[in-house]
Amino acid sequence: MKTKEFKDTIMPLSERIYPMAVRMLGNTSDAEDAVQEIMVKLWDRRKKIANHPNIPGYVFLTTKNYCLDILKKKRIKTDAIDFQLKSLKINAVHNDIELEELTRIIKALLKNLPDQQQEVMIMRDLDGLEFDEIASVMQLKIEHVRVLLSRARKQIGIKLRNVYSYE
Amino acid sequence: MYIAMNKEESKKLLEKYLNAKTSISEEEALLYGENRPPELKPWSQFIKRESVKPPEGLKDTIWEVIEKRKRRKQQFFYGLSGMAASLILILTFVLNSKSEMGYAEKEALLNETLAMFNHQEQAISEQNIIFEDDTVVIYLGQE
Repeated sequence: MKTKEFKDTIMPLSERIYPMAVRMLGNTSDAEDAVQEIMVKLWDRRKKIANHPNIPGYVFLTTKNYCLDILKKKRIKTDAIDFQLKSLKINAVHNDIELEELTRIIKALLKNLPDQQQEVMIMRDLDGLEFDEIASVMQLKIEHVRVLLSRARKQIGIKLRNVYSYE
Repeated sequence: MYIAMNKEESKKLLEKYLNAKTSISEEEALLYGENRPPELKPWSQFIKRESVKPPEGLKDTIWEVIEKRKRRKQQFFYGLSGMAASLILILTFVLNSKSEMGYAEKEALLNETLAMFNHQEQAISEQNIIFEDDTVVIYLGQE
């Protein structure tokens, strides 16, 4: 992979993996360092990954593994929803009490979902990953990802309807 | 800009969304578009609030780091090449000077020459001098 190709195909992914790194590592400065390290590693491996069938998926998987390694080194337990939703604490400076309450409720609803459903829902709805990218990260088939996401959306939908009683 | 849709389309899209069959752009239209289904309002507010935006210039900062590494590697490579070239030059010089004539070879040649002189001296002592002056010596000897 030549420099231009790397710049065009891999570099833009740095901005897409950043939210995942923030959620997993729980703060923006560690996430920035992690994204930088991941990109440097990918640069060093650019010849190997040039022919990969799903480069974005590979990059997201690398990000997940790299962040898990950091958490392991820091001896932080990696409970899916806890690390995925750490950004809640980061953005918690809001005066809107209603929004605060809504966030609290949804966080609780997400926590009650099975781990895989939580992860898929966060990756798709919050971080905007494509299905094939999520499938790579989760090491699942795309159809399985769709099933998990559908279940999660329906569950959250039903529960939110109960809470807010929409007509 | 999101895909424009009426309420009926919005309803259909919601069904598609719940079955995880929508594309990213369809989902954006559904969650933030004009005819958003009311039941999606809290979820879309949550997503908006929880979305993490990358810092400005992140890509450029990372690219600068990569470029620096690239330059450092190149400098290291050039340094290494220079060292290798110098080493080759030194080796070439050493090998060439050896190929002229080694010390052992020179010694052997010298010994051979000395041996010849010793033999000649011995030969002279065995010959009878029949005439000798300042310029000429005449021997009488056997082969």
